[in-house]
Amino acid sequence: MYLFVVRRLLMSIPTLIIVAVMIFCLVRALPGDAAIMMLGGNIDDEATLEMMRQQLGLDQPLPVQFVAWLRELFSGNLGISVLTGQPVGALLLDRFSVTATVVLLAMASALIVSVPLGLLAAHRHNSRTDYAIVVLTILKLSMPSFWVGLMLLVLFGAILGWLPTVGFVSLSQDFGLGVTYLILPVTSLALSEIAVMTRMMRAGSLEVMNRDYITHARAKGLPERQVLWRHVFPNAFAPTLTMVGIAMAGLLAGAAVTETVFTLPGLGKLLVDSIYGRDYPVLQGALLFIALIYVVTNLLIDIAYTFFDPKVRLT
Amino acid sequence: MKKNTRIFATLFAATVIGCAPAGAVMAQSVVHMALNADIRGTNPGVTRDGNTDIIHAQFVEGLVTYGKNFEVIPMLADSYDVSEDGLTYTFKLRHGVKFHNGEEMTAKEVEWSWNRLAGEASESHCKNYFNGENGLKVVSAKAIDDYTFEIKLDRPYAVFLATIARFDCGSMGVLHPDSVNADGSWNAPIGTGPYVMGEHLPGRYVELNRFADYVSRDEPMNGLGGGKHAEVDTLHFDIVSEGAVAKTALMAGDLDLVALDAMAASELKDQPGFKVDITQSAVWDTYLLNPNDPVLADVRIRQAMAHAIDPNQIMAAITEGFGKASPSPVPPMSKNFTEVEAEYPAYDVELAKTLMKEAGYNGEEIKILATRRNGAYYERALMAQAMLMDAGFNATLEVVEWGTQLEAYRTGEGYTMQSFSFSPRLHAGLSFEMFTGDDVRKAWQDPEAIALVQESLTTRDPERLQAIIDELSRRFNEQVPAIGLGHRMLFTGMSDRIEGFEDWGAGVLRGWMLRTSN
Repeated sequence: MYLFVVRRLLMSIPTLIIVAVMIFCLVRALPGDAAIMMLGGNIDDEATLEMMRQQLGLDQPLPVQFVAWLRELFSGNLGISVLTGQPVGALLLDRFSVTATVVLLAMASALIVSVPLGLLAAHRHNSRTDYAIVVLTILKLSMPSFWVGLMLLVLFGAILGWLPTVGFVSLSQDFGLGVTYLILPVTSLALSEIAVMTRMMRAGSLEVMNRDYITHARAKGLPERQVLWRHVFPNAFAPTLTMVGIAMAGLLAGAAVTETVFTLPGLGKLLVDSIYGRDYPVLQGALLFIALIYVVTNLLIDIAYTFFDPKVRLT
Repeated sequence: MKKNTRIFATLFAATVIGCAPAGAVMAQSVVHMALNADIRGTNPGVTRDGNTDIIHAQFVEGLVTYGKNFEVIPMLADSYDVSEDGLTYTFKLRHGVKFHNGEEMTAKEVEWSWNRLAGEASESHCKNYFNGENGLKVVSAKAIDDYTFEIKLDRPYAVFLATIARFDCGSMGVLHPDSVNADGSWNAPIGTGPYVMGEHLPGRYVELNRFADYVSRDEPMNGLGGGKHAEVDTLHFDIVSEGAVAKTALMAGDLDLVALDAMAASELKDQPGFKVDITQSAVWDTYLLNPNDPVLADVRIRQAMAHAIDPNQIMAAITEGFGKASPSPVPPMSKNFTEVEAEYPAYDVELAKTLMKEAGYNGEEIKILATRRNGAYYERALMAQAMLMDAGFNATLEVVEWGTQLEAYRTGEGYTMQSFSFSPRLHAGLSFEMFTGDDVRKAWQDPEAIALVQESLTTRDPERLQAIIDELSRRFNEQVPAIGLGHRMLFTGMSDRIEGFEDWGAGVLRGWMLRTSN
């Protein structure tokens, strides 16, 4: 496994270089002048604009800007945010820690709920329980996440007054208080994932339940619970795991909507702000970081396959 | 979230996870507010945007500032004199003004602060207002004695004081030299304002703490100047980019004061426990017409468009009936706003159709550019499109991101008309100057109008200034370089425990006026 991990990481280097080139080109292709955004939209003064372009290095030809960025990148320096003056590397890690906390808790919660729910729905296929689960998941999938988040805020923040509606306290800062700030965003994200994963788990389980080895397990008199957990679950979970990997990478790359609704200082919010503010160093750094997240997440999912599917070998 | 339930929730969470309870200790006299985006820094006049300027205005002050009706009034200066030739400005400084580090302000710090922003090595965009890049050049700026500061200009410039009072320059704020490190890099602001910069957690919140040793002027509060008697210990600004979330937080009691949109203000104004402040600002919402578009070359087409759009209907719709049209670029609260500025092309669809026919309009595309940014840019554009189509124009609407729209504005390409806004210009001449000139982005390129605008910025005769502004207003209505809509309404919702809040035309928060009832 060690060799596999090292090889995969080495293989990701050319991928990241190609991504870096694409990121630089795409970011520079964005319409709009970063210097104008830096000046808060004040473009009455061409001399000031020119001064700002010089400060940002935007007066240089694109190849020169690219080489300068790459040189800094290889020396481990992602640059300085032109919006806030903070080092981009530190900024990304700070924001990623917020996103990762919310996403990992949400995914864990979603798995805990959706796996048994999907198995149950499959086990009671075409029963009222199955219909109820299917209808509820479709209902949730039909709701925009922005609206669900807002409704959670209104209910638990404004009406019941149980949980805070704005702000963020990290767990390391104050664990107890931090938990209260995490409950709503984690719930909001988890609800979305529960809907998707439950349907995935249900479909996978239904397919597995029709296999001969399940009929055989039942015929030899195994209790239904054992049939479900020992035989159906491991075989049905592999496709769900793929889904988990894709969803996890996507969410770690920034759950921008959730972060905006719950005023979380996460990676997604940072990315959106950097696009609107034309904060090139942050935008480029964040996109590269997101590419890295996808590489690492996919690697971890590939490793996780070996635990659920004995046919998979890491070579 | 209410305080008792917050503590309950904290205790509950801590119990559930088996940890010692960590109660939230709420400081007394804190006002929680929302900023829709994080500040860009703490360096007045250098790291700035609209939100950042608001925070800076709480801790930094300049020699002069703007009064309620946009008149320039002394702030750190006790008084000022202008020489007969208009070239020398002499500021007599107030005695006993304290910096946040306890040291007394003298002309030495004023000179240092001036050079920090206006000097050659300055990183501030403000230096270009004074170094000749835009015409005016400050020949010298120096301390004469401990309490006298003198600035000499290369030419008379009527809006010089208004320029140094600009919000985006932090009013050319006076700071203590210890605000920068030994190598000249920025450290932290040591100003003279009623609040001291507190903690700033990027992306999360900004805090300002009351400056206990603040020495106030004796006069009543006036705009950003006059007496400042801060009572609230801490001003806490959470970064909340979504208006709906800010409103929910206000209703939950987590925020005390937030900017609202018209619909939210309408919903909240009659609810017990809340108050809503509605104030007309000097932000000019308008439709800019592209002078480089051949479709608009015939003045009759522009006039037809002006007659086809009803600013009253649009203003009523986007403000839920709280606002009314004020199409002149000169804001109604300006002393130069008279009955001449109150006039504008009447809504008359038949007249519009006649003018279109006379001009030979043949269905050419009128491409309206708009963005979904706060400020009802999109809604304004949508309604204008419907009205133009009603009159027979082939109006299309393209919605773009703000940066893209600004680029179109700067280059004068990619649009026929755009839903646009101009931030407050606190001198009537500047209200026209913002869209008048020979640059491609300027909507009004008439040489006579340009000459009049330039004269308005140099004349020191109030009667002549009024005559120029009236003449510009008449020409504006005849030539229609832009179709004015109104001056934006500002809606602020607050808990009824907040007292003393009053918005004003410039829309810059004055934290020192806030009081809490418990």
